Parts: sequence; structure tokens; C-alpha cells
Amino acid sequence: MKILVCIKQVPDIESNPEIRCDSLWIKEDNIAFRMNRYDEYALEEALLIKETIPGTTLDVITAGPERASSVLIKGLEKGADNAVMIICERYPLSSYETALLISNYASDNNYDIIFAGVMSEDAMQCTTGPMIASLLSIPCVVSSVKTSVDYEEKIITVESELEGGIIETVTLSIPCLITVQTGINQPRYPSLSGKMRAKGLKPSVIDGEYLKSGFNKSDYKLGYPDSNVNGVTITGTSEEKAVKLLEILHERGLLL
Amino acid sequence: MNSSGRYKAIAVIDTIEDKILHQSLELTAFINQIYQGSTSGLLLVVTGRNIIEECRILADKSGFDIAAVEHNGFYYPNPDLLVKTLNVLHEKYRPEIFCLTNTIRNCSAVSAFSAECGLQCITGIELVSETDNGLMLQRNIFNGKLKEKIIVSAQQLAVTVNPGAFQLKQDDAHIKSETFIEKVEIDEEVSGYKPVSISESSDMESSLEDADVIIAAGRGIGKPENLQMVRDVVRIFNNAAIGASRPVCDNRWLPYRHQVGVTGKTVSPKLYMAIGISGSQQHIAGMKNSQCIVAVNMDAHAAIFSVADYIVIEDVNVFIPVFLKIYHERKR
Ligand SMILES: Cc1cc2nc3c(=O)[nH]c(=O)nc-3n(C[C@H](O)[C@H](O)[C@H](O)COP(=O)(O)OP(=O)(O)OC[C@H]3O[C@@H](n4cnc5c(N)ncnc54)[C@H](O)[C@@H]3O)c2cc1C
Repeated sequence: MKILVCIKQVPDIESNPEIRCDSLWIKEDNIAFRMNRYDEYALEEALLIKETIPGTTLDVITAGPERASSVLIKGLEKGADNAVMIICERYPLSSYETALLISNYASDNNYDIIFAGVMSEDAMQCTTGPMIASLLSIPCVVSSVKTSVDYEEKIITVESELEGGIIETVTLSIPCLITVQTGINQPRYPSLSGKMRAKGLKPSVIDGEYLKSGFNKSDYKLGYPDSNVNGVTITGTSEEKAVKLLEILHERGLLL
Repeated sequence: MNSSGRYKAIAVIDTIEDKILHQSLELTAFINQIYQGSTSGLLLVVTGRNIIEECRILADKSGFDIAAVEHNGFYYPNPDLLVKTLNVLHEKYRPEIFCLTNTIRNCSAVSAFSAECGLQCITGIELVSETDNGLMLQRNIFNGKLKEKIIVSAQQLAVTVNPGAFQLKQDDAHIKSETFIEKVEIDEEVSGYKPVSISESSDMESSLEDADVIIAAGRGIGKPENLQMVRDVVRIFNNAAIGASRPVCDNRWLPYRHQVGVTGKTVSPKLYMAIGISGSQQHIAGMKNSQCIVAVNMDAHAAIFSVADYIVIEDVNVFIPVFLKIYHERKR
């Protein structure tokens, strides 16, 4: 079995990001980057399959600027066999551009399953996975909360989550693409031996600049949300705020 | 944008088990806004196994032309067949815009369809406005911390629109005396994608629906041990229950039956108190109709504050213990 996991590196944003002067992306100074959380679950799902089906190889791939290779190293530390870095300094890529770069690589490599996260935490589009599947003409299911592989029959059964707590069970023939929802498993931390092993491995590098710039990229700008705060901000010290809030809740007759 | 066909816009009305999900009719309000008050070039697409009757009723009620797409595979949501349907309609009408409700399935369908046909794809639209440079579509990024504003330049678009973002008004109804229902055929092609069944996810029973007060914990509580302080807050209210954002359930700090949001419960209690919740669109969708919303978050720009009636900018680990202490002192 050959598995590919698509991983995105995203900014780890606790407070408010500042927008760069061209309005196309955020200022990166003082920002830490990490693996997209949905992709952590996708990677774990692939690692679990690798552990149950002997002879499985697991590759991780990302497209982005050079700094993004840190998520591939993390993937190797957790147990991936190979890593592929498609370097594109032009950033951010549209999901279509990412899908083109990844599908171009994958089409030559006969993967049985391609995993991706259901969404990236920064762009929030839920589009890259299905676009890759479409470009490769393979079936795709989104938002998996359970994946069972029958490798003999080449069938995968996926419990896919819909809105409103509804689960749809779907079968897919291999090869296929699955996007993974959070909560499906408990992503592991890299083990010490995993970290040691990864030291000897290097991602292979592909130059992604062959994609013409601006391809299917729309005309956009980032902006700050309008401060459409209609509520009352409770002010004062912690104690004063607590007193005010308790009074409001008391007036509404909600407190015991 | 331009199109020469009979329909300028195509909106996909969601169905499940041959029942129309009426919220997706909000797409007509979205189209109305895009075309500045006109929905005359709009075709609704309704899919199902036996859907014709439902289509007739909808056509009579709404006054829109409808394409009814019947296929056994459409009894459950089926993005795979939906892509084929969109392809057929694209060939036939070349509309300027395809719009769908922003659900995870529909995102899958529009992205696959647009990649196949080279359309511009935009998901999760929450606002439309006319600018000097043309039509501007706005969506959330970074969990609502920033907005992406896209000026439409493409000839053809495939988009998903956030539920609740465009409200259906009575006078949006565009009543035609005669509506047109066409049946669209989809090839019986073998596909590697097969829906088998649908079910309510187990473990969904909870007291959230009946509670007057919901105290909801988010990732901001930091660690599962801190749920104790959230439970202590629950105890000071009449008929209260504990709710959660998805990561709290993903981390197994609480069972999924406590999750509020698009993939969890939709609630509207008298009081919803969000503790350490950022206010992602998926979470807000499940609690925005609460009668009173109190949000405690240490980030002054947290998106949850946009729906809150009372805003408390505080570290929950500092504020909640103080809040409880003062409550108990006053009680005595
Ligand atoms: C298809 C799909 C469906 C989804 N469905 C749902 C759903 O139904 N429900 C849902 O909730 N999510 C859902 N999500 C996930 C959603 O996008 C968000 O990731 C999630 O809601 C974030 O949860 P959170 O606010 O608890 O965590 P975060 O976004 O991490 O926010 C934590 C917040 O806590 C604050 N904070 C941190 N520490 C402190 C402190 N000490 N004191 C005070 N504040 C603090 C931070 O400022 C931050 O605002 C879905 C996602 C997808 C892709």
C-alpha cells in the first residue's frame, strides 16, 4: 500500500495578525508556524494504517515556501518514510495552484490513498483535497471521522460527517482521496527514536516555480473585520467585572 | 461576468432522503443581491431519487424554474453525482454563477467541478458588495480574525454561501405565473464513490436542548482539569448544562454530545456563556440565536465578541475563579 499525506504549514496565531502592506498576506515577523491541525489528524490516520498493513509506505508532501519544510520534518519524525517539498516562494498559493502542484507529483507515483485535512486553519476553504482528487480523476470523500481499509478487496469504508451530527457511510474504490476531520484519532507526538531516524532523512525538493504566477488566482485583498461589536464590554478589575456580570445575570433571574 | 444562455445563475437546493432543506432557498436572496434585485435568470436545481413532486410544490410556492435531477444515488447527499450534474448544466447553459449552500459536501462538489471546468471557486461567502472595481465577495479567514475580499474578475464562478448570511425576505419571492420544470438525466456511469447509509451519530443525547443556560468551554480553558471550574459555573444557575466547542470534544475532554455548532447541536438557551471560545463561524452557527450571550476571552479581537451581548476580556483562569468566589460570598 502506498499512501501520500498532504500537509500545510500554517501561522500559529494567538492574537491579531497584522496585514502586509500589499494586503495579500500577513506580516510574518514574530510569527511561529506549525502543522495545520486537520493535517495532523490526516497524518495520524495514515500512520495507523501503516501500522496495520505491512509493507505500507507513507510519504508526506507540502507546497509552499522553504520554511514549510518544518512540517515535513515533523511528519518524518512521526514515522513517514519519505518527504516531498514543492518549493514556491510566491505565497500564498491558491488552493487550485496547490492542487495542481500536488496532483502533478502524485500522478506519476501511483498512490493507493491520498489523505488531506478537511480544511486549512488559515484559508478555511475546504477545497484543496477535492481539487487534487478531481485533477487525478479519483474518487474523494470529505470529512472522514472513521476510515476502514479492506486492502484485499481494495475497498475503503469511510464514515463521513455531515452538518447536524449526521454520519454518512460511503465506500470508495482504491485509489482515492480522503479528507480527515479532527477527533478521528489522537495524533501522536514524535518519539525519540523517530526524531533520531528523521535526522538521517531529507525531503526531496521539487521546484514549483514552473506554475505560471497568478494562475487562476483571483484579485483579492485581506482586511480586518469591521468592529461590529454591538455588545456591552464589561470593564474594571477582574473583581469589578465579576460583580457587574453577576448583577446582570441576577437581574435576568438566571442565577440560583 | 457574462453569459449568453437562458439562465445566468444556477442555485443548488439541498435535499436529503428526498426532502428539500429549506435553508438553501436563502441562495435566492444571495442571487437577488448579486443581480441587484433581480432573480429572473435563476434556475434552481433539486436532486433526489423521486423528487419531481417536491419540485412542483417548490415551483408553485417560489415561482422559480427548476431543474429536477432524479437518480438513485441522490437519495443521500452525493457530491460525486453533483459534480456530474453541474457539468451537464454548465454545458447546457453556461451560467455566470453556480451557487450552493456552504456545507462540507457542497465545498467538495464545487471544488471538484471548478477544477475540472476551470471556473473560479470561492467557498464560504458571507457578504456581497458592489465596488468601483466590480463585484466584491467577502469570506472569513483565520477563524474570523481577518476577511478576504475578492473582486470577481472571472467569467464564471462556482461558489458556496454561508447559511444565514443572506436572509430570505418575503418580497424576494419572484412570482411567475408559469414555472418550468425540466428533468435532467445523469449518466449511469460506474463511480468509485458509493454512499451506503446515513445515521445520526450515536451518543447525541444530551441535556443541551432542554437547558435554560449553557456554559460552554473552548480550547482556551487550556486543560481538561479546568473543566471543573466550568462545571462549578454550571452549578450556580437554574437548569444549566455544559456545552463545548469541537476541539474540547476532539481532545476527549467531553463527549461529542456536548458539542455546539454546525456539526454538533444548535441551541438557543436563555443564556449562553462562552468560556475560552474563539467564535469560529462553525461554532457561532450553533449558538447565535441564544437570547443572551456572554463571552469570556482574553483576546480583545476574538470573533465571538461580534455576537456577544456582554463581553469580558479576561484570562479565564483568573476570571472564572474570581467570579465564582464573589458569587459564593454574596450568596452567604
Ligand atoms: C467542517 C467543519 C465543521 C466544524 N464544526 C464545528 C462545530 O460544530 N463546533 C465547533 O465548535 N467547531 C467546529 N469546527 C471547528 C472550528 O472551525 C474551530 O476550529 C473551533 O470552533 C475552535 O474552537 P475553540 O474556539 O474552542 O478553539 P480556538 O479557536 O483555539 O480558540 C480558543 C480561544 O480561547 C482563547 N483563550 C486561550 N487561552 C485563554 C485564556 N487563558 N483565557 C481566555 N481566553 C483564552 C483564545 O483567545 C481563543 O480565542 C468545525 C470545523 C470544520 C472544518
